[in-house]
Amino acid sequence: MDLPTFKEQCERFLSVSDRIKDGWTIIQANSLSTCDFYLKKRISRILNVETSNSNPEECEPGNEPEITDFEDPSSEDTSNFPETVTWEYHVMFSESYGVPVLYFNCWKNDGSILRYEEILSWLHSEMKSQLIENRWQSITQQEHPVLGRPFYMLHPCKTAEYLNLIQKESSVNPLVSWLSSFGGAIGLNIPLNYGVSPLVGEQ
Amino acid sequence: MASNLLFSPFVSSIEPSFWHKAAQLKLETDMLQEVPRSVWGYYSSPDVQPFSLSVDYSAFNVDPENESNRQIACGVYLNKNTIESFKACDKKELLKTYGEELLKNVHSGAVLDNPSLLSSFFVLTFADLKKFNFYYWFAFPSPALPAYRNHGKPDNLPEILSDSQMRSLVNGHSVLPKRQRGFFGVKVNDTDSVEVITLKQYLDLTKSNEDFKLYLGFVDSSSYPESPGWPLRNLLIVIKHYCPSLLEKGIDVIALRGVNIHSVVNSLVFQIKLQESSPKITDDSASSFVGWEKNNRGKYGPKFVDLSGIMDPTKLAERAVSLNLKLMKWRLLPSLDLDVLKSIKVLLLGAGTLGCAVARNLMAWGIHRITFVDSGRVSYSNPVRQSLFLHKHCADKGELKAKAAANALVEIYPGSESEGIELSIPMPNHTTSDLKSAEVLDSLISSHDVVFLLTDSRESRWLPTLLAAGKRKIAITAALGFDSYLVLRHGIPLEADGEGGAKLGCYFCNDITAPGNSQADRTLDQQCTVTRPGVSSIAASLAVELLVSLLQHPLKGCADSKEDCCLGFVPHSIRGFLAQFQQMLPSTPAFSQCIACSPAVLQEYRKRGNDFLQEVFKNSKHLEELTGLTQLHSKTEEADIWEYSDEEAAGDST
Repeated sequence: MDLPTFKEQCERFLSVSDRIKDGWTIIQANSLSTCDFYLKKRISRILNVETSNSNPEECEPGNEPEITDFEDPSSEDTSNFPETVTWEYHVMFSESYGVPVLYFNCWKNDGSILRYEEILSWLHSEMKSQLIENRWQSITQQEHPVLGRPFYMLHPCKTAEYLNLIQKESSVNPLVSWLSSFGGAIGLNIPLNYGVSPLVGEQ
Repeated sequence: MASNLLFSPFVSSIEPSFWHKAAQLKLETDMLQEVPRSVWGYYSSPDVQPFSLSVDYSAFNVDPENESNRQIACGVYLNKNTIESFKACDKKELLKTYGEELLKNVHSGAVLDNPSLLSSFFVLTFADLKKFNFYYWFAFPSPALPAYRNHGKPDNLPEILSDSQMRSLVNGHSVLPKRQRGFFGVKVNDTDSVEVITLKQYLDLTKSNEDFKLYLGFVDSSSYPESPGWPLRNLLIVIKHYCPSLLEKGIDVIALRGVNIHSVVNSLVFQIKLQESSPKITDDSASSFVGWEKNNRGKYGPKFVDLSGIMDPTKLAERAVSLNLKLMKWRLLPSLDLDVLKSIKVLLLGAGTLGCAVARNLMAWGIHRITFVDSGRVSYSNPVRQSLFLHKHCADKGELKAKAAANALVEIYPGSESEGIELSIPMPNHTTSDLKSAEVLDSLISSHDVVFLLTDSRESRWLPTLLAAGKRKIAITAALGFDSYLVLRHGIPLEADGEGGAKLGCYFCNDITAPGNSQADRTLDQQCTVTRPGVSSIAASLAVELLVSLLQHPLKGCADSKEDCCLGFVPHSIRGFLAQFQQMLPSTPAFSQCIACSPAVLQEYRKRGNDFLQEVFKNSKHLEELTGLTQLHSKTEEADIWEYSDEEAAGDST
C-alpha cells in the first residue's frame, strides 16, 4: 500500500464515520513528513475495579495534614462516580512497512498511562488470550512518530501478510477489514456500517 | 418538593501531554522562576466525559484549541520549585486570591464579554523532574454562598421543548461565538424555534417587558439527575449581581447535557431559587470561597502521579532497545530466547580493539551487564580502532582503559551495568605476575557467566582458560593475526567432574608447549597487534554471535559443535583469512594433556592453588612436566627422527 492509497481509504472511512457520528477525525499537520496524516478517535471508558490496583496511600505526599475546613455544604459528593480512562486511537501510515498502523494510548485522570498489564486486565479474556498467544502479542510501547511521546502500537510486522490475504477477495475498504479484525483486540469497535458498500449504505 | 441544590464539582483530568509540556517549560523556559502561567482547560457535556475538566499540551498556548464540542475554561498554572514551598503555601489565601479575581471579573462585566472566565480554575503543582513525579492540586474557586434550592425535580428537556425547538437550540448554540458557548440564554420565539443568545443579551432581555419565555443556559458537565455541574455555580453569581430579583422569584435554567441532536435530549431544565433560610451573607462569609478538589481518598489534599514510566529517558531507551530485539523474535525467530541474554553477566579480559568491539555487539543484543579488565591506559593511537574511546580520553597519560570503556557503555546506554577493573592478568614465565591479581581474577570469573579472552598475547590467556575450565564457565577466545583471525569457544565437559564425556578443546589444546614469554625478543611491530583494521571487528562480531548462538542451545557451553540452535550452527571455532576472504569451521577435541584445561592441571590448581600458580609464574616448564608433555616431546623427537630416516630411505631409493 502507498500513502495516496492510504489517504484515500481514510477519507472513505471518515465519510462513513461522519454519517454515523462515530467520532473519527483526520489530523493533518503542516509538515511534509508522511506520517503527519492520521485518523484519530477518542473514547472515555469507565476504569474497571481490577485495573485500578494502585494504592494511593503509598504514593501521595507523606504526612501532610489535610485541610478539613474546606467543607462545602452545597457541593455534591461525586466520590462514588467511577474513574474514567481516556482511550485514544490513531490510524497512521507506516512508510517502512507500507501498511496502516494502529497506535493507541489510554490514560487515567492524573495523566498516567495504563501499563501493559492493566490494558490486558481490561480486555476480555478471549481477546487477552489471543493477544498473549499469537500474532497479537506484538503490542509495544514506543514513541509516537508525530507527537514524540510514548504510545502503544500494534506492531505492523504482520499487517502486510493480512492485507494480502483479504485484498484479493473483498470489495470492502481494506482499512475497514484490517481495523475491524485488529482493532477489536484493543477495544476498538467498528460498526457494521463501515462494511456495507457505499451505495447500500446511502439507501 | 423543594430540595437543596447541590453542584457536582469538576474532576480534574490531565492528559499525559500536559505533563510533557509542563516539564519542558520548567526545564527550558521557567527554570527556577515561580511564575503563574495562564492555561486553558476544557470541559464538555457528559456525553463526552462527565464531570471532567481537562488540560492537555495546548493548555499553555496563546489561544485555546478550537474543538467544537469542548468548552473553554480559563485557568492559572502555579508551579512551585520545591515540595516544601508546595506544602507551605497558604491554600486558603490562594483560593481567596483567585476567588476575588473571579468576583472582580463578574462585577466589572468582563465575564459578559468573555463568559469562559466563569469556568475559572487554578492548579498548584510541584514537578520533581529527576524522578518524574508530580504533585498537583486543582481548585475551581467559587463563593461559598449563597445557597440555592431546586423547585421540584428538574424536567427533561423534551418535556419542555418540541423536537424542532431542540433542533434550533442545537443549531443556534453551535453558531454562537466560541467563548460564548459555555454560558448563554435561550429565548423561545414560537412553538417551532428558539433563539440562542449571549449571556449579555440574556441579562438585557430579563429587563424587557415583552412577553416571551426566557431560559438561562449553560453547558453542563454533570451527569447526575438532580445536581447540575460546577459551571452553574458561578453563573448564578452573575445573576445574583445583575438581576438578584430573578433568584428570589425563581429562574429557569437549561442544563445542556449534549451538544448534538442525538444527545441534546439528555438535557435538563432546573428551576432554581435562593434558599430562604440562606445564612445571612456577612462580610466574613462574603470573602469565603470553596473549590479545592478532593484527592483519591476523598480528602482535601493534593494528588500525586509518578510518570517516570513515560518520561524517564533511561526507561524509554530500555524499551526501544528491547523492541528492536523483540522484532527479531516476532518476525523471524519465535523461539529466540531473549531473557537468557538480558540476565547474563559477561567478563571481558582486555578493553582494546577486541574488547570495545565485543562490548558494542553485546549491547546490541541486549546484554548489558559487562565488566572490563585491563591494565592499560588509552593512548593516542587507540581511538581510531578502539570504538569506545575518544581523543579526549588520551589526555594526561590517558585514562584507564577499563574505566573509560565502562563509562562509555553507560553514556551509550544508561541501562548498562558496567564496571572497569584495572588488573594485569598474571602470566606464566612473567616474574611480575602476582598472586593477588590471580585471586581477583578467580573471583571475577566466579561472579560472571561468560568470559571473553581478548588480550593480545598467548600467555595471558592461560590463567583465565584454566579458571574458566575449572568453574565450567563459557569462555570465548578471539585472537588476531595480521590478516587472519581465530574465534574459539572453550569446551565444557558434560559431566561436572571434568572426566569422561566428549569435550571440545580450549585455546591451548592444539599446542604442545607451555606458554612462554612471547613478548621477549620481539621487535615493536611484533609486540603490538599489527593487523588489518577490519580483522578485529570481524572477529569480535563473530565471537559475540557465537556466544548468542551457544546460549540459544539447550546445552549452552556443553553443546557439541555438530549441533544446531534456532540461529543455526554452534561451531567450535571459526578461522578466517582476509587475504583470501575465506573462513573455516574446524572442530577439535580436548587434548588430554592440555596445559590449561586437562584434568591434571585443574586438579593441581584445586589441590595446591597459589603454590602451583607461583611455580608456573616462575617457570612454565612445570606445566609440561605436570601434563606429561615433556615425555611426549621426547617421543615426538624420536618420531621426527624416524620419519626423517624414512624419507631418507625413500630418497635413497630414487
